[in-house]
Formats: sequence, C-alpha cells, structure tokens
Amino acid sequence: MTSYTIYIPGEVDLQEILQSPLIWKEFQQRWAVGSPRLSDLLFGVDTMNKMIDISVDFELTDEQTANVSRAVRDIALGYVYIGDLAAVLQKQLGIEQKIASEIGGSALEILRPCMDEIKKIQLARFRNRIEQAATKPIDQPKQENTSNIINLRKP
Amino acid sequence: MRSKRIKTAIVALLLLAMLITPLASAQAGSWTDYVTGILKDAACATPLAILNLEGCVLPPLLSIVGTMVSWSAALLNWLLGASQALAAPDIIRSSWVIFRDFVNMFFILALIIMAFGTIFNVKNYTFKELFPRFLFSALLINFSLEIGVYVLRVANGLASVFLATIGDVGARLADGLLITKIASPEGLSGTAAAALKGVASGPGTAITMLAFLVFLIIILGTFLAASIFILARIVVIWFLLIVSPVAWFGYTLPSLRAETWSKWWKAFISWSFFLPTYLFFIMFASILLSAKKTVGLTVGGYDNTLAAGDYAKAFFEVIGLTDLLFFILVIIVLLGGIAASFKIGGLAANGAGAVMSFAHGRVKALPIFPTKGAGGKWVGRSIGDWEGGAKQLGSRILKSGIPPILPGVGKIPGILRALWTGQEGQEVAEKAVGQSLQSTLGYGNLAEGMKAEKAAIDHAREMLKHDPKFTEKLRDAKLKADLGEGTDLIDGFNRMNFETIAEYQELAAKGMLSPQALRAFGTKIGDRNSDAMKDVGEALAKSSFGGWKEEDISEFLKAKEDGPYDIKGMKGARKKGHEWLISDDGKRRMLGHESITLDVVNQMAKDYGPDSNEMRGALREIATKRADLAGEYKAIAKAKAEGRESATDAEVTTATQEVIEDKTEHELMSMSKIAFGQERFMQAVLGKLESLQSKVPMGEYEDKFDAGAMAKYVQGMRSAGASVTDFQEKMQDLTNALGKNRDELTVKIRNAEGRIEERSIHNYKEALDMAASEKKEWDIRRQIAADERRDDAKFARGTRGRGPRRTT
Repeated sequence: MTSYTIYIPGEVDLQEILQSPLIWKEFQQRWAVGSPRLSDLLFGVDTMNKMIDISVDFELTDEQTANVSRAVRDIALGYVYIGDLAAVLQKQLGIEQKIASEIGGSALEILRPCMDEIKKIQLARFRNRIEQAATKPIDQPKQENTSNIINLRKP
Repeated sequence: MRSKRIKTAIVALLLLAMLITPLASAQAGSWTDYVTGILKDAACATPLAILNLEGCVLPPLLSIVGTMVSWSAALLNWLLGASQALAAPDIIRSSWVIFRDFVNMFFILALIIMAFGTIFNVKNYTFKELFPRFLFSALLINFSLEIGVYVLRVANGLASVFLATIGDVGARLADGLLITKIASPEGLSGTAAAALKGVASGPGTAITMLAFLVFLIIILGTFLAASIFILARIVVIWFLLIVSPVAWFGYTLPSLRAETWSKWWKAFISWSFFLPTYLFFIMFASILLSAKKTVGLTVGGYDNTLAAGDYAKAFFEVIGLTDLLFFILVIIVLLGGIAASFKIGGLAANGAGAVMSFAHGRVKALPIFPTKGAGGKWVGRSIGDWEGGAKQLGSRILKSGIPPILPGVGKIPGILRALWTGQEGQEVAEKAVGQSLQSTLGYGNLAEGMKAEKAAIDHAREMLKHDPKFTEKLRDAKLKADLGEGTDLIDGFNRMNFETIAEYQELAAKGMLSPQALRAFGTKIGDRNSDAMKDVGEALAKSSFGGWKEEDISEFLKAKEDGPYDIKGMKGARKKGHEWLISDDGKRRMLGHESITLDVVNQMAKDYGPDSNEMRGALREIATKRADLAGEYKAIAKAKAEGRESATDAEVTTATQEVIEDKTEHELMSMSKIAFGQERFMQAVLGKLESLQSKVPMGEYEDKFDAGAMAKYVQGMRSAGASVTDFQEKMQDLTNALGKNRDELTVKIRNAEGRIEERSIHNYKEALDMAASEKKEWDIRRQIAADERRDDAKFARGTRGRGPRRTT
C-alpha cells in the first residue's frame, strides 16, 4: 500500500529527517521562518489531494511523486530556487523538459495560496539570482509582419 | 682642525682687504693723504722707522683698517637691503625648468620600483605605501619653485619689518662701535691725537694705539663675516631653488627621502630665515645702542689734564667706559647673532615638518561625497576616513589575507583568497613547515614546532570556515574521512597537511566525524601532534558527540588497553571528552547511560591524576547522577590505599551512602531510575529516601511526594519483580509530576486534522502521549483519505479518456 506521506510535502522524508539531529535542527530552523498558514498548506488535505491529482494525471511512480512533494516543500522552505523547479523535476524524475514544466506549473498551483510569503522566503535566500534574473533582458519574440505588405526580400 | 679654520678665515679676510683697499683708495682722499703724509715724513723715511711704532707704523695701519671697517659697514648695509629683496630671477627660473623636466623622467623609474616592490612585497615600497606620496610629489614638483619663492617671501617680509625698525644699519653700528671716534683721520688728529701726543714720549702710546687696532680688526671681522653670510645666502638660496625638484621627487622614495626632501627643506628654511633672525639681533643691538646716551659711566679720579705716562687716561680720553662696554656688547650680539640665526633657522626647518603634518591633517578632514545632514551640517566620509579605511583594509589584507567579502567588490572566490593568505598565514605556514620538519628530524625545538603547527592548523581552519564553498568542502571531507582517504595527506609537512587536519577538526565540530574516522585520524596523527588530536576531541565534545552512539562514546572515554582507542596521543582528546561527560550536556545525555561504568571513572583518574583537584571535581559531578560510580570508586581507592585490591560490598554501600548524603529527594528519584537494577546502589537510595521521611519539608510538592512512601513503593516494585523499563516509566511520571507551574504549561500540538493547537498539560509526557495519539489518528485518517482520493482520480481520468503520459 502506498503511504499517504508521499503526497504531503510536509510529511515526506519526515521520519528520515527526524533520525539525524543535525538535519532536523536545520529543518526546524527553516520551518520557523514560515507562518502557520504555510505550515498548514504543506500539511493540508487540499495539498494532498492536489498532489494525488498530479501523480495520477502524469502517471508518476511513488518515488517520482515523493520527489515532486520534496520539490514543493523545498521551494516553500527556500531550499530550492523557484526558477530551478522545472530543471530539478526534470533531473530528479528523469522526464522530458516539457512534461517537467507542466508538472512544475501544477506544483506551483499548490503553493499559490501562500505565494506572497514564499516569494519573501525566496528573496531572502536567492536575492542575487532573483536580481540577476530581473536585470537580464527578456528575449523579445520577433515581431511577425502583420500588415498586408509582403516582404519579398525575406527568404 | 679648529686652528686650520681660523687660519683660513684670516687669509680670506686679508684677501678681501686686499681686494677692497685699492678700490677704496681711489675715493678716500683724506685718509690716503694722511698716510702719505706720515710716510713722507723724514723721520719715517729711514729703515729704523719700523721701530717707531707710535709715530710711523701704527697710525697708517689704524687709518687703513678704520677705513676698511667703514666700507664693510656700507657693504653690510647694501647686502642687507639687497638680500631682503631677494627673489628668483629669470635665469634661476629657466634653470629650474630644465631641472624639473629632467627630474620628471625619474617618476617612471619610481613607478617601476613601486611595481617590483608590490610584486615582491618589499616593505615601504608597495603600491599602497608609495602611491599617495608619488601622487603628492608628481603634482607638487611643478610648483616647487613657487613654493620655495613663497617661503622666501615670507622670510624676506619678516626681514624688511626688522630692517625698517633699524633704519641705517651701517650708521647705527658705526656709532655703536666707535668707528667715528677711532678710525677717522679726523678722530685721530683731533682730541685723541692731542691726547696721544701728550704721552708720546713713552711706550704706552704704542700700546694704546695697538689696542685701538685690535678693536678695529674685530669690528672688521664681524662686519665681513656678516656680509659673507648674507652674500652666501643669496647664492645658496638660488641654488636650492634650482634643485628643488630633486627634493620633491625624493619625497616619493623612502631611501631618498632623508637625503633629499628632509635635507633640502632644512637647508632652505635655515638659509631663508637666517636673514630675519640675524636682523632681529641687529635690531636688538640697535635698541641697546640707542639707550647708550642714557648710561653715563666715567672713569673716576681722572681729570682732563694729561700727565706724562698716563696711558689709561689717554685711552679713556678717546673711548669712554660706556663706549667700551657697549662695544663689547655689540660685538657679542653681532657674532653670536650669526650662530644663533642658523640655529633658529634650523628649528624653523624642523617646524616645517610640523606644518606639513598640520596641512596633511587639514586635507584629511576634507569631506568626499558630502551630503547635508541634520541642521544643515555637511556630513560624509572624509578623505581621512577614506585614507584610514583604505589603510586599514590594506593592512588587514597584508596581515590576514584577502577577506571573503570585499566592500564594493563583493564575494571573493576561494581560489583568489588562497593566492594570498596574508603575512600571518604565510609566516605561520612557513614557520610551521620548517619547525615541524626540524623537530621531526630531531634537531629542532619540538614545543616550538608544535606551537607553530597549531597556529597553522587554526589558520587553515579559519580559512575553511570562511570559504564560500564551506558546505561542499565539508561534505567532501566527510566522504574522504569515512573512507579513511584524507589521512594519507597528513603525512607530509605541507599546507595540505594543515588543511586536512583543519577539515577533521571542523567535521568533529559539526558532529560529522564518525568513530572510525576519529580512530584513523588518531592513528595517523596522535603520536606526532597530540595538540591537533586534542582540538579534535574538544570539537567533538562541543558537538556533544553528534551522531555517535552512547556505546561508542563510552568506548572512547574508557580507552581500555588493546581497545579501539588505545592510541598514543589520544589523552588530550579523551580529557576533553571527560570534561564534556561531567558538563550539563554530557550528564544529560551520557552519564546516566548504562554503558558508563567504573572503567570510565578509572580512566578519568588515570588521565587527571587520582589525587588531583580535577578528579575531585569530576567525582562531585559524577555523584549528581551516578552516586554508585562515585561511591564505588571511592571505596576501591580507600581499599587500595590500605593495600587491598578491592573493596567489600558493605564498603561500597557505605561509600555510596556518603556520596548521596546531601542529595535532595528529586535527585534521589532521578538516581533511582538508574539504580533500580543495581542492588547495592538501590539499597543506598532507598535507605536515604527512608531517612528523608520524617525530616524533609516538602513545601509545594508535599501533597504529591512522600519520600518514605516512595521508598516503600520502589521496594514493592522490586519485590514484585518489575522490570527496569517499567520502573523507569513510573518514575518518569512521578518525576514529571514534581514540575512546578504544571497547570500553566501549554504546548503546541498538531491535531489529527493537521491543525496546530495549544493545549494545557500537566507534564511533558502527557504532551508526548497526546501528540503521539493525535499523530496516530492523523495517520489513519490521511491514509484512508489518500487511498479514496487516488481511486477517484484514477476513475475520473479514465472517464475523461485521456491517454497515458510518458514519464520516462
């Protein structure tokens, strides 16, 4: 029987984490940063349901589901940079980039109720990367000629 | 040497006299006529006239020297006027331009020297030290002439003030020095001549005239000396102005500074301020002279009638006593003034250094990037702050290496920081390598070597702690340590050695050093560097042996012969472990554990020394939790002192009872949890509890705790064959029940709904039970919910008709 803990970001790995005093201590410190609302989100029934939906929709194995839960937890607690979510999922789940992006989008939906708080945690942890990302010019998609003049020089 | 100088001065004076005399003869008709007249006198035309001093020799000499004196006074007068108007003529200016352009080329050389000085870290020649001076010199060398001329103008301005006060220097001095009386032909042919004629028959006339001659020569010498110095001042100052660029360049390089910059300024200030200082003395002399008329001294007892042979009267007929005294005074002032002027000029030169320091201080106070603060006051970092900050940062980098974060630059990569670990790091590492090698080869000082090595390891540890990749490095170090790979690097006497040891220490501090890794490390380094081993032990103790099992800690603390920790050089580390054992952390975690046996106490006694204060203190601490161990140790020690190998059971019980004599009921309750399975210890505890029955005021616990009843209860449990675990659980409940403010104790517990809520409890066990119960409930509910949800989701997906996704 699949343990329900793989669907709850707050519960996944909890038993293992408790085994190591050092990791537990650090884990506790990270938890201390979050509000009770965030804590509720990561342990909540709604979250569990959404995680089950993702697992079923994308036909994820238990291990893959646990990895998605870990990623959600790590983003919420500031262990992983939010911009790296798709890449982390692609690597840990061993899936294609496109599917990883889709799962990442669904995973972020779970965190939406506490997104403001998560943004603050992310900013505190990854200020440099966020600033870099903010200053990086965004590649503008090339404007297609929408007028009725046809460019004959265009190959 | 001194006589040679005097001779040179006399020759110079005579030469000058020879130069001046022919020139003067063309103009001074009166005194030449007088001399010619004497020489034409028939009495003086014979060869024997040379013996007639008073008639043929001295009068013309007096006249010649007297005239030279009046001319030298005129020369002095003119030179003073010319010198105080001294500036830099065009020729000096153009010469200075040539010099300046030439010297400017050497700034390239200074830059090269600075570059090499920085590369090879030559003290006083690094960029940091030289650049401010370099800028200062390169900029101000172009104004060196103007700065010199300005200083000169200040000195001349001062001189002109004194000169205006004095007026005609020559006339004043001539008056003061009686030149009008003794040197002019009129003077001699007047009253004085008549007086001299009156005593002309004796040798006294010649002596008096000779005295006058000596007077005149002194005056001439004084005037000429002053004139020469004033003339020399013009030449020297022009020369100094021309070469001033050299001095300003010399300021850049420390090796040139003393010989160029300092000497130039000293000379320039001395010569510039010589004139005003000298004029001050002349002014002083002038003031004295002006007061002469008010001083009326006469030689008593003499009348105006000259008697034959009355030489003194003849002398004072020409020069009064007042005149004579003033003559001496003025000579002293004039000659002494020259020496004093140079001295004072030299002081002024030293003062220039102070002025420069003052100027530097003012410049430092200038604000950069100032902003208007509260009350309209300008605030901001001053140049001095910047300079101070830069100096501080520079010296810090030089001393302790590149910091992990540089203001304005950001994080510095570890690889760059490793390039320069600071003088301290370099010295420490080099010294340590050298001394370790020496001590190992047997011809060095072992203690010094160890000390240096410790410093190197500490430094390496600091570097590691500040490394931006600290976590990764530590993780790698743990991997290596667990595999026993890192210890290979410890063999060499190089920096890698220190870094590896530092990694082990840091692993220990973070509770990441396993017992196996500690043993491997100890085997490798223990007998060579017990200090490093001790530091590892200390770090382990600080982390409360994080990750170690109690049995492993006990093994380490026991260190039995032929055991895994029978390693040479481990004593220091073990002692740190013992210290931890009797600390609050150690007592809480370890002292009550069954693996702590008498072996540990015996090992402590061995390491501390059985009769040492440390051991006595340790026993007191051990007795707070393990009165049985303390009692047993004491009983055995007593037996051994009496020549027996071991103590009897009764002796051990008695000793244990003595140990728990002053324990409270709470401490006894805590002890009984450990003692329950040990007959002798339990007997001691129960006996003590029984004795408390009648005399302990229970206070607020009175209703909850009865020592006598407790003793009976424990006894009953033992009789009923209760297990140690059962007993411990009961004791825990009872001990918790003794907690104060138990009704106000609240804990946060996540309930079965997953929500956090606050609950009042009576003891912590209750809270744990509560939490466990909630968790159990939560687990069941979640599992059911998850299973249902998953089934629903699968069903829904099937009805939607979506195909399976490829996930791998």
